[in-house]
Amino acid sequence: MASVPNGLRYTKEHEWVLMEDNIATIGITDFAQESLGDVTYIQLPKEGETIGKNDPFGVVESVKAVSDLYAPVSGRVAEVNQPLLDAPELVNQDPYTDGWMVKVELKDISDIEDLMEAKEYKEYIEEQG
Amino acid sequence: MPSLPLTPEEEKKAFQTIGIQSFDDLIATIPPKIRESARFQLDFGPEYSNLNSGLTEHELRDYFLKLSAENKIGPETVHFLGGGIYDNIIPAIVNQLVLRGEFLTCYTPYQPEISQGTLQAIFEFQTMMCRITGMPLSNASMYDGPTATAEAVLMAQRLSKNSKSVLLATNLSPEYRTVTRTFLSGHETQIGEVLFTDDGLLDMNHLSKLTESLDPCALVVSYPNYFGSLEDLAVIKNQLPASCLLIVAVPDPSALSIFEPPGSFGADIVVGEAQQLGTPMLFGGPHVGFFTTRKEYLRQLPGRIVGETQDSRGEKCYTLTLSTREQHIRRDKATSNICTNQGLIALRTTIYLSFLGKQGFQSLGETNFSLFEYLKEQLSARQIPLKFSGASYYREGVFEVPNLEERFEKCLAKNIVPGIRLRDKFGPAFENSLLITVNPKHSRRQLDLLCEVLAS
Amino acid sequence: MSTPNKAALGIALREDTIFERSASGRIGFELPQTSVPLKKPTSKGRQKAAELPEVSELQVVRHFTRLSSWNYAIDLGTFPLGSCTMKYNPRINEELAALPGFCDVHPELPVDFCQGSLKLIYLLERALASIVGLDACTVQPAAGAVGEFTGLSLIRAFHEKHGGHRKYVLIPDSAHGTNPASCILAGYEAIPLKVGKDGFMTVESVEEAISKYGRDIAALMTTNPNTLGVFEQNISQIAEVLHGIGAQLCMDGANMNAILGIAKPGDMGVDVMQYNLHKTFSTPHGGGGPGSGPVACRSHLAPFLPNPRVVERNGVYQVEHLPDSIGKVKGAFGNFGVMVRALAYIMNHGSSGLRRVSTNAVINANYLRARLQKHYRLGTNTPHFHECVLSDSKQIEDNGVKTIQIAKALMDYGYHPPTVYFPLTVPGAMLIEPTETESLQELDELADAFLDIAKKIESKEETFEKSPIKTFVGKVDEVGAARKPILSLDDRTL
Repeated sequence: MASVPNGLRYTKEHEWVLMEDNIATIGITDFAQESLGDVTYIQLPKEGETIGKNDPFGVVESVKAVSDLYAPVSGRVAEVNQPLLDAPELVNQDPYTDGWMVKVELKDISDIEDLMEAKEYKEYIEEQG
Repeated sequence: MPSLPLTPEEEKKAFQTIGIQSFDDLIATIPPKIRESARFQLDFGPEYSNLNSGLTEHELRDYFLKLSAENKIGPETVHFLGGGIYDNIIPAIVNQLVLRGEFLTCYTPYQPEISQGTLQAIFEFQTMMCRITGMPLSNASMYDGPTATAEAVLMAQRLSKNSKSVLLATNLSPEYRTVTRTFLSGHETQIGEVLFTDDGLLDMNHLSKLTESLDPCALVVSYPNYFGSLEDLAVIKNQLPASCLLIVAVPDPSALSIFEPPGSFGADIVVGEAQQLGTPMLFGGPHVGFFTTRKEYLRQLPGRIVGETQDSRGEKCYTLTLSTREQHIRRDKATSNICTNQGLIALRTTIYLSFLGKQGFQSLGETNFSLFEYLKEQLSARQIPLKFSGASYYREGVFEVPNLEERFEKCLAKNIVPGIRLRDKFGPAFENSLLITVNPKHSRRQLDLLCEVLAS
Repeated sequence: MSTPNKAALGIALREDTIFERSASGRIGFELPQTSVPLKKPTSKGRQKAAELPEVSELQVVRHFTRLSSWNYAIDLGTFPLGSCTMKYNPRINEELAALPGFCDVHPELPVDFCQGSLKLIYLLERALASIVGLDACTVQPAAGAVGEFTGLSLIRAFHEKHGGHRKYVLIPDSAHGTNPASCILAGYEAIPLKVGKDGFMTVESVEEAISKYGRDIAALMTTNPNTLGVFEQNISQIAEVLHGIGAQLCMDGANMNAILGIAKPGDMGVDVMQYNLHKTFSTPHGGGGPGSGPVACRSHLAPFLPNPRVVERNGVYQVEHLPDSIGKVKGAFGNFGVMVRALAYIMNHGSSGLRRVSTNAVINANYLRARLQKHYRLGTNTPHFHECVLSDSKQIEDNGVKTIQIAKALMDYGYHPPTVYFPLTVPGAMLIEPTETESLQELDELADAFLDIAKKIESKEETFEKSPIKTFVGKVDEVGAARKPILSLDDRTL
C-alpha cells in the first residue's frame, strides 16, 4: 500500500504539496512513483520562472512511461531540487523527502484550498486501484 | 507458390481445428458487397496485361533484367552527376555482409536480449557519425539527407520558446529546401531564404537583415553547399543571435575527411546524407540520413538511439534507450513520427567505414579533391570557368559552359552525362551553368574526354 | 521433436566494438590509385583525422558475422510479431534489387537514360492503386509514418483548396502511436474516438464527434483490419457519414496483409491510404528499415500528390510536376530499392496469389488462436483476421505471471515474442501475427511453446521471473541505460 503522509495536500495527478508560510514544496506521491517504475529522468523549470496552476511545469520519465507534472498552485519557482536532476532515483527512494521537486512562492494562498487532504487522497487512489 | 506452404490437406486440418466449414466463415464480418468486388487485375503492359497466377523465379529474373537494361547506364556510359547523391566504390564485403539473414531479416531491436548484433552495430554507427561531424551526440539514422534536414528544423522549433520562423540558405540543395518546406507545411511557419553572393556563398548582409526581421530559431546552411563550395561556418555562427541555432546540412560527409568538421565551428545540429559511404545510388534510395547534435538537446532528438549498458550477468551490452521521446509512447507529443528508419543502410555505412578505416577515409577525400582540382584546371584552360571563383571546393562545382544546351546534347550523344543543368533549379542567371561532380571511379582519361567534348 | 523448447546450446563469440580491434597504420580497403596529381586542401583542412577503426578485411568480416549471430531473425525462426507482418523475404527479390542496371542509376540522369527505373515506378504505382481499388498512387514516402503524413497533407491541401482549412482528425483509441504523431506533424489536432465494446468503431461515436466538431473535422484515420486484427464492419456507413460533411476517410494500411483480394479499401469508402511495403509486400525489415510507405488515393486528392510524378506518354516515361502538389516528402524518387522488391513480390504472386497470401495469413492466425485459446484469454471474441490478441489475465490469476515474463520466456524457447502491451485497449496484450509463410508444422511448434509456458504457470511450476536465461545476454539494464546515457564510445570515459 502506497504511503500517504498526513499534513500534506494532494492532487488528482498524484502530486503532493507541503505548505510552509507562502512557500509550497511540491513532489510526486509514493503511489505515482510506484506506478511509473524506476524514474530515469526529471525535467523541472528554472528558478525564477513562474508556473500556473494546472499547467504542465515538468516531466518525469521512466523507461517505458512519461508523465507531465501539473502545477498544483500558481507562483514563482523559488528553489529547484538540483541534486534530484542528477539522481532521479531519489524519487523512487524517498518521494516525500529527498525526492521533492520544486518550491514555489504562492501568489494566492487560497490556491491550495481545493487540494485533497491525506484521507481523501487515500480514498482516491484506492478507487484508482 | 513457393512462399506459401499450406497444403490442401493442412488447410482441412486447420478448418477443423478452428471449427469452420470454409474460408468464408472467417471473413463473414466483411459486408458482402465489399467482399464481392474485392478481386483486382494486375496490368503490367502488353507482356503481362492480366497477371493472375504469377511469374516463376526464372521469369521474374528475365523480366527484371530486361527492365533494368532499359536504363542506359552500362560501362559505355560515364556520368558526372552529384548534387547530393554520389557514385562510389563499394567493397565486396559490404554487399555480402548486409545480406546475412540475421541482419537482413531481423526486426527493430526492441527486444535487446535477441538483437545485440544490430544494437552494437548501431552504437558503432553513432560513434562514427559523431567523430566524422565533430558533434558529441548521434541518433541511429534518418531516412535520408533531405528528411534529416527537415527533422533538424522541427527540432529547432521545439527547442525555441518564442520564434518558430526559419531561414534556409538559397544555396542549400533545392531538394533539401522543398522537403523541409513540405514537412513544415502543416504549421504556419515563416521561412526566409538567404541569398548568396557573387561568390556563391551565403550573403552575410542579407543574413543579418533576415535575422533582424524574422527573429529565426534556426538557419540551415550546407557544407559544402549545392554549388560545391565550403562556407565559412565560424563567421556565420558568429553573426547569428544566440537564439538562432546553426543547422549544418552535409550532403557529402566524405568532405569531412579532409575539411574541418562543422562541430569545430560551433554548429548546433549537423545532419546529412551518408549514401556515398558504401550505398548504391539506386535512383535515390534507400539511402541513409544521419543526425548529430549537442548533448544538451538529447531530449529533443528525433528517432531511435542506442545506448550501452550492462546485463544481469554483468556483461556489457546495448539497448534502445530514451524511447520516451518516440511515437509509440508519447503519441501526439512525440518528437517525431519516425518509426521504421534505415537500419540496414546504417549497418552498410558502418561496415563500409570500418573497412575503409581512418586512412582510407582520408584518401577517399583526397582522391575526390584531387580529381576535381585536375578537372577545374583542365576546364578553365578550355575557357570553361567556375561560375563562382572565389570559394574553396571539394569534389563538385558549377561551371559556365558557353552554348550549354548544344554541348550537353553533344555529350549525351557520346554517352557522357556531363552534369546537372541548373537553369530549371535556379533561374535564367544559370542559363549556361552546369554542376559537374567527380567520383573515385573516374579515371584521368574520362576527365580528359569530358573536357574535350564539353569544349568542342 | 519431443520438447517444445527449440533453444539449444551453441557457441556464440564475444566481440568488443570494431574500434577496439584497431591498430594504428593498418589498412583495410584500398581505393584505385588516381592518375591525377594528388592534392590536399590549402584552407579549412581538417586538423585531426576522424578516428575511424584501422582493421583488416578479415577482422571486419569476423566482427560483423559475430554480431549477426547475436540476432534473432525470420531466417532463424518464427516471428509472431503482431502488426509488423514479419514474413519470409524471398531471396530472388534481393538479387533483383542488386542488379547493376538499377543500382547505378543516378536520379538526375536525363529521362532517356533511366526509362527502366521510371517504368518500374509507373508499373508499381499502378498495381498498388488497383490492389486497393483507388485511382492514383505515389511511392515516394520513405516509410509508413511518412506515408501517413503524406496522406494527411493531401487532405489538408484538398480542404484548403476547397472550402478552407479544418482542424481535427478523429483517431480511434486503439490506433498505432504513429497516427496521432503524424496528425500533429500535418498540423491537425488528434481527437480520440472511443471504440465500442467489441473493439469496433461505431457510427454513433462518429456522429457524436460530428455533432461536437462539425465541419472542423478534416478526416478520420483508422486501421482496417484494426489493431486488434478485427475488421471494422461499420466502415462503409462511417465513410458515408464523414463524406456527408466533406470529411475524408484516411486508412492506415499497416494491416493490408489480411485483405488482399478479400476487401478493397476503395470499396469501403476510403479516400486515401498508405501501404507499408516492408510488411505486406515482404521487403526485409533489416533491423529497422529501410521501408517504404506508398500512398494511394481517389482522383480528387491526386492533384496534390508529391512531385515529381512519373507518367507515360506514347510508351515513353516522363517526369512531370503538379502545380498543386504538397511538395516533396523524400529525396529523389523514394526508396527505389524497396520498390524493386515489392514489384517482384507482386509479380511473383499475381492477383490470385496475392489473395492466397491473405487467405493463408488469416487461416494461420485463426488456427493459432484456436490452439491457444484454451490456455490464454482472448483480447476480443470477435473473429480475427491475420492476427489475434491474447491477454495475460488468466496467467496473472494462475500465478501472477504477466505478459512481459511470457514474452521473455518465449525467447528461452527459441522464439521472438509477440508484440506486447499493444493495442493499449487490451490489458497485458499479446498481439500475434504468424503470417502466411509459416507452415502448420511451425505453427504447431510455436503453439506448443506457448502452451507449455501456460501449463507451467497453471501448475505454479514456474514464474519465469529470471527469463531470458539462454539468450546471448541476460536481462538488460534499461534503467541504467536511460539514467546514465552512453550513446557513443566517447561517452564511456565521461
